[in-house]
Amino acid sequence: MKATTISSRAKTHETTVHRYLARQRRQYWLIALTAMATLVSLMIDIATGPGAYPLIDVVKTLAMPSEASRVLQVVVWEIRLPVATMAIVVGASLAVAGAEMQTLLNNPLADPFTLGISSAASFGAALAIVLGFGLLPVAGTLLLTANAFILAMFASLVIWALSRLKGVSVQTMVLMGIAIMFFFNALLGMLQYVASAESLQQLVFWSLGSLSKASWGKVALAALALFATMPIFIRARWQLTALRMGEIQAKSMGIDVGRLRLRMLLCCALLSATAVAFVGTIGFVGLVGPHIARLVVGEDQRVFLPMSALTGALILSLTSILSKTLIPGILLPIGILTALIGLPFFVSLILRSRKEIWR
Amino acid sequence: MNLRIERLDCSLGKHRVLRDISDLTARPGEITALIGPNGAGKSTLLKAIAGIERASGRILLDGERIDALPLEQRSRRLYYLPQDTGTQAALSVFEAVLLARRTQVAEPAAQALSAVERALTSLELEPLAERELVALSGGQRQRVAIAQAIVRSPALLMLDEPTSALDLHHQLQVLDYLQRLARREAITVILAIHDLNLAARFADHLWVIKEGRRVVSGKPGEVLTPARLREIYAIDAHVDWPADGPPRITPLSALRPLGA
Repeated sequence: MKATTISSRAKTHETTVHRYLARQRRQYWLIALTAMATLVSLMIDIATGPGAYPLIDVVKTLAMPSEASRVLQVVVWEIRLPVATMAIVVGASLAVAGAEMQTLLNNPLADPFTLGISSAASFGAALAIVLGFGLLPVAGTLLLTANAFILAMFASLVIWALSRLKGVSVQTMVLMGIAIMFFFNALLGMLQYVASAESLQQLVFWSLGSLSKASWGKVALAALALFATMPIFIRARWQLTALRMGEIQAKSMGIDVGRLRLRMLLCCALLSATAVAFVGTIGFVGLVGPHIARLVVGEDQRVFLPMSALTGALILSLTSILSKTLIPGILLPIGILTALIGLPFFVSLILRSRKEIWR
Repeated sequence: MNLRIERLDCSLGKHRVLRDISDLTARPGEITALIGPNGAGKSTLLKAIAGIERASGRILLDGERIDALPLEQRSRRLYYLPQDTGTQAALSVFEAVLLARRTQVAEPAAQALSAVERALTSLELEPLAERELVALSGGQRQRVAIAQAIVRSPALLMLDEPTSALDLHHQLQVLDYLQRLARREAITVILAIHDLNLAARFADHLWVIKEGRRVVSGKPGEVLTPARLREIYAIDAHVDWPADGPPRITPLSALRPLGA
């Protein structure tokens, strides 16, 4: 009798752990599938545009550039690949920033756009464009990025300080974000008023969000920000997951919540700032990406983080294709499309959070 | 581990919640129940011991001061389980318990998985291992929270009203489990609890605080007297200690009826 009990317990033991490992394998497969879908989307994005090319030609040009025609080489490698890659990098950056902001602030509505961080970064970029004014002593493209970063950090610090106040609800936090957004938009309006015609055109580019000015240099800098922050998030994966158990339980698990929030929010600010500095304000990717990831693989950061990055990349890549194909012959600013797609999602989240879906 | 508290003071904002709390001890293998009226500072006391709320004074574990230790080091030896363990995290039961282990020790994955499995088994949670936390009932959620605590093998386990959201069956089940756990693993268990009958039945030792001050501590038989209950809770109560069963405390009337 005792032997039977022991053997049945051993079996249960095996199956509990095995069932968990099987769940983990499923999660890894879903991540791999999303990565493949993103790769396919990247190819289609490159193939789409004025003068569409068969997908097979794009793949061949990417794999063996020397054997492709000169025109194809230039179109694929120098014009479309930087733009398509920028969509992937920026989509991933915004989604990672959104995922971590939602985790850190325990707020399903948080993303760089809704909390006003993108607006702050846009204003920083505008300072560089219109006045040539730098908040840090750097020059060129970096001036713009540095300005965007400093102001994104400032907005993040305001949000961090607000998150420390007791009794700040999910909705209040978003209202504060809207206040930050209004504040920086007003300052942006002031700069628009004094801007030259040329600067004004560039400012419109920021406010609408566009991938069209992507270059390899900008892609490299945006990717650098992503690859520099990802290891920091990955190292803090357990602490970040623990935050979702509630602040007190996270502290009970030995996590210095205040310090973790500050460090991670600064990483989010860097990601948001580089994205905004290079492509302007692209809203809601940071909101929608993580929510889809959460539904698919859950919130264990080991899978949630890569899945959020990939979902964000896939969404922005697909939107990039859509921006070229929706009205044939016209390239729509991508920020307009993400706003049109993301807004209904945002409203549905507000309605759901009223029912205290997150506490 | 033996816990001893000396001259503990804690303020939340301008409000001084704990005032010079001294001479409280808790021993391994025993359950210590922390009782007192609403607003007495029970949760704050447990949080102060855990390092979640800042406090001044001395907290000693087996004679060693832990009050100056950072949260991370303190959390290796003790664990505080809050009253509200509700979360909307999209995590499975297994993932949630694994998380509690992983935030504490760096060890090979197989070792961590096996520790999680043992914790789940001891709380009969294996059938729910894959279930999402949001899909659990209050009682199941409470068991998961206890599994998160015990998977970390704390020497001192503090639970804040662990039975307040549970039905009678689950209240007895949880307290009986904690009593066996304390005895078997020689863990020092402290519970903040309102139900005096449960406290009298399961606790080896009682701490009583009121308005942030220590009132008395001792064995339930010494502490739970009609006179003490009148002093602590301002109630008249009948206390019955039958030789063959658990004690019975019957509250009779409040000394200051509301609106009178």
